[in-house]
Amino acid sequence: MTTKQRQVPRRLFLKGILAAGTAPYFIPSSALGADGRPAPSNRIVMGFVGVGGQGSGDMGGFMGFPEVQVVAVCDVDARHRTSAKNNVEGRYARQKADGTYKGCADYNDYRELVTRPDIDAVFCATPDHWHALVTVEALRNGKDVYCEKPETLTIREGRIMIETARRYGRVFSGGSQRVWEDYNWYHRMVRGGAIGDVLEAWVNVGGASDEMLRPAQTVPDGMDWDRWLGPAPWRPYNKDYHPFNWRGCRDFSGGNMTDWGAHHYGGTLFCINMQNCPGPVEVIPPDGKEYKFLTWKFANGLVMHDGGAWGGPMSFRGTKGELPDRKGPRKAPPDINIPNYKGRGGIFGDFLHCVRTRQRPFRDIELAHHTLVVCHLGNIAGWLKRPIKFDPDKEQIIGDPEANRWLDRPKRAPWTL
Amino acid sequence: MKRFSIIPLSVAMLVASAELMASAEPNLLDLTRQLAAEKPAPQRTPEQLDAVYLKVIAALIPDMASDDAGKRGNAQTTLERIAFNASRPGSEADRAACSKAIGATITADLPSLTTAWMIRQLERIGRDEAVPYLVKLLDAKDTQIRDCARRALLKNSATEAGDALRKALPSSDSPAWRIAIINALASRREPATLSTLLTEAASDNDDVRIAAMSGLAKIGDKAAAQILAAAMNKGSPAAKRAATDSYLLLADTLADKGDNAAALGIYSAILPSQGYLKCAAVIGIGRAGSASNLPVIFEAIATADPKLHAASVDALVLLKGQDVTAAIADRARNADTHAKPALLRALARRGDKSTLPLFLAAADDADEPTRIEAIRGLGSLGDAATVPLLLKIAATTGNPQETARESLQRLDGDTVDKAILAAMNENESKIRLEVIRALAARRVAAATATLLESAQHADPGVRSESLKALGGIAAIDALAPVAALILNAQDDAARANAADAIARIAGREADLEKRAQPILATLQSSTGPARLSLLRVLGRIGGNNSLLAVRAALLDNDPAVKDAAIRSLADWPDAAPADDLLAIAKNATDQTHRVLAIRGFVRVVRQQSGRPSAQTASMLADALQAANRPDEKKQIIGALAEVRHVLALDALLPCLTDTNLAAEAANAAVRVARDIVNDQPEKVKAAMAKVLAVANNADLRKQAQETLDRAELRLKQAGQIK
Repeated sequence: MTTKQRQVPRRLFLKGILAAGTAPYFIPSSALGADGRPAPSNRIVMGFVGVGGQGSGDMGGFMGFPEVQVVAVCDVDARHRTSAKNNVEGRYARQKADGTYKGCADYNDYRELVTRPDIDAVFCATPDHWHALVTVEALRNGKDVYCEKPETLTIREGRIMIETARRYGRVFSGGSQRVWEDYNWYHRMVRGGAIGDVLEAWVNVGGASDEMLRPAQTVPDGMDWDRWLGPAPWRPYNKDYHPFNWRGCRDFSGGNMTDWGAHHYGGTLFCINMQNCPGPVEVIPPDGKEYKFLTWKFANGLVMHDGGAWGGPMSFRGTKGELPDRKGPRKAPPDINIPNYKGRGGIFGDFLHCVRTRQRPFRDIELAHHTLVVCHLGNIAGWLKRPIKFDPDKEQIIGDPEANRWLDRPKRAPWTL
Repeated sequence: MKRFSIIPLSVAMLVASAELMASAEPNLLDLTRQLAAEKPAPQRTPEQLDAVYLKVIAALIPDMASDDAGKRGNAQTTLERIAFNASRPGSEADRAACSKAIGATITADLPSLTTAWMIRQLERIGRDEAVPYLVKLLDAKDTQIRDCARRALLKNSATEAGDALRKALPSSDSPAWRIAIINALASRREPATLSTLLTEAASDNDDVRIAAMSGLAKIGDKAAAQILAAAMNKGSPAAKRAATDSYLLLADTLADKGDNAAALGIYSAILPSQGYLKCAAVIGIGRAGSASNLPVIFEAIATADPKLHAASVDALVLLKGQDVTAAIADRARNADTHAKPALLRALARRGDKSTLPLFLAAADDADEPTRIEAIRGLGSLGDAATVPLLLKIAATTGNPQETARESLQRLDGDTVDKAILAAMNENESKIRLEVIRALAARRVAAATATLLESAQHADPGVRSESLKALGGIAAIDALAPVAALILNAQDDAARANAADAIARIAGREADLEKRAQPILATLQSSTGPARLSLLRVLGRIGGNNSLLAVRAALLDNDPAVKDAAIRSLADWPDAAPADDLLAIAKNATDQTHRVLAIRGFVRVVRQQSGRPSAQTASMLADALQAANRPDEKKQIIGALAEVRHVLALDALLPCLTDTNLAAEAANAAVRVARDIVNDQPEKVKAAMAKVLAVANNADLRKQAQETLDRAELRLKQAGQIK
């Protein structure tokens, strides 16, 4: 079936959904295929880039939605690639009467996947240093995008991802499910006014990445190391980088500061209804005197610290008390309405709903970017061991040209954004 | 990964290099620490700084070039630390001296990774003084090294860096290197690069052309428009796509610079495209256009393509001007049922309150999607005067009702709460219910007195909704009057609603005694079903005084009171009534009470407390004896599995011989054993042997065997097994 043939009925189908505004999505029986799933013409066709640990699990999650059809996977490690392809084909084969299915292509180069005209949405769970290149290329090819957190390696990457998504009118969801799902008690308590206006927050995240220098080792069979490095400066292969521990290395990730920071700082800012705040105005590394922890200061007076939280990942001090309350039992949260996922099925369902209805998802890339601005600036101040002042509107560090260079990093040839 | 700290990071690294340094120069270690900001540094002249940086960095080279990964890593990190410190604001002489010293110590005989590392520091701190060193490296045979130099020049703010890249371009020895240099120039966005890129954009090589076009788009000079337009139909599909993307990016850049006319020309040229490119063109027109461009967007909004439809709404939101708002509103008045909801959505997002009458009228539209968008828009644009209409719609059913409720919650304005509160006088019950819901959703604390009144209304629905609202928003000082409502409640449902409200209000007060006090006071004057309800509520409140009251009720002659007291204890929020519950489990004659007590006991014992593990194990062992049904025994076994004490293991072992409990007991025994194997290897060894004798599950058997092996190893280490 050609793309054109496939798209027409879906558009007609979606017209009805769109007309219903934000009404709950359901699939009319007339649109269902013989296997009880939506008819092929009404499915959201997806391709997955980066299908190792996290990507593989997420792919399984997306395949749990009957309207999703996975047609392609991409990974620079042949072991992951083959395994993912087999998983997809095996799962669809089990749903067919004849028990066979061969419809999942596999790629080493993501550009082949994102230019396929039959794909509606691209999922990205590569190492962090690849996120921007993969997702921006997908957007430029008209795809909606779901990208695992931390969505960016630098602040400039985030800005380009937002601009590209907006330029093409695409849906772009980041991938922190914890912001809404794990910290709901905090959201309700803080937004419900339990401690009044929040003055100070402490967040336990963990450390930054460092240079993580390792000696050379033999590249495993089936592993395209040069492609894995991609835009990052060249360095020899070592098993400590792949398959997983790359998060400790500054060339590939911001470390726990961005990995868990995407969750915890995202959740903290959401509690205070500052998820749309474009960033702090000052970041101060610990100095052993006034500042015990890495500290962010915001234009509205909020002070936030990296560490020192009690009773959970985040703690707050407000005009009416502390949260959690160190002196008493955990109180029941107020039953209040706060922004939530659209559709059904958690953050994946939120994304799929927005693909259909063209709304902004809960973790729209701009919201994700705002959280990661906090994380990246924390890392920059920590690495350079000096305070920095930031202009959130211009996204520039003030009065420190060399710190400013960290807002973007030059990519190894031939990669560029 | 490590948390940022104040611990000097390079002290340990320097110690590793200290011997070498010390032998070469007695002051080298101190100098290094000064440059790494780990010791105060004296004031130095620029010449002195040049000498000091050169001396320290040259001394790091041998370790940085070492085959020993540890030495190399330490020296590299020290160099980085020095470079970071030198680049601090206000120390220009340090930065320049450091940069020069790094450049001067890069020699051809250094290992590739060492050279790359040093260039990386120049990428981070180098300015004009670094350019000559980097230019030389652009000719390196090692392609990774020359790419490092390219990246360092890309980040270098000196105009000399751009000049060097432009000069290097003609002599590039491969398309790949040519593209790399073009990309670097593109990132620098210097107007001086424009002519170079215009030339390269005419290349026959698709990839070179793509890179040049991207650069032209980033620089954002309209001189590039014509060449990009032509390129959209030239070369491979990838080249055509890239040209179109660059063309769009150029338009965005021009719009950012205020040249909307040039930008509009590009967006309009792309408009005839299909799919996502058409979406981008429509959004672009919204970004750079004016009221005169509305017809194009109105045409796009009529499409059946949901993506273009949504892009058109985005475009209408982006278009600037009061005249645009008026024109969209005019269009919306007579639009068909496909376009009207989208036009209303766009108007609502534009936020111009002058369009409110349109929304008020459309809220009564025959078409439901239109009505929904209108009602949603009222939530964004409305004010206190909008409240009666939204309440009326909220009192209906289906999507309009849901949307009106959301809008009532979102309505902004100082007088909105008052307007909602005033509507409590409405005679129609349905509307009164919506008033109460809205007050609760908006958390209007000032409504407490009104809600206390309506909680006694003749209409049971109003009473119930009022209690729900009070539970959500009332402060602790409302607890006494809400508790008193139980006394007059007419039926079980009303009492349950009141009890729930009490528990929720009390839950917002951390002080257990303070929150219990109003309920205990009411309890004293209560009788019959009200007394039973209040006793049950105490189980959700907790506190010492509550426990005393419930214990007293346990002795009551009325079986219903006693039953309520037992159920209250079983719900208790902490472990305070554990002994009471255990006693009931052992001694109660009523089987239901025994079951309730055991279940409650297990639940409270599992909660965090300062109780020693031995005591918890002992209490659970007692409960196991008292329980006579497998269901409760299994619950106790589950609790024992979480206790890290040998007494828990002792309690579990007899259950292994009970066929109803053996599987759960074996699983629990292994869990406990794994936790205590280091302290109790002998007991664990014996217990695991018993587990292995009865367990059938392969995974569990494997875990039991592993635990047994660990116990034996521990015993061997302790000399008890040879």
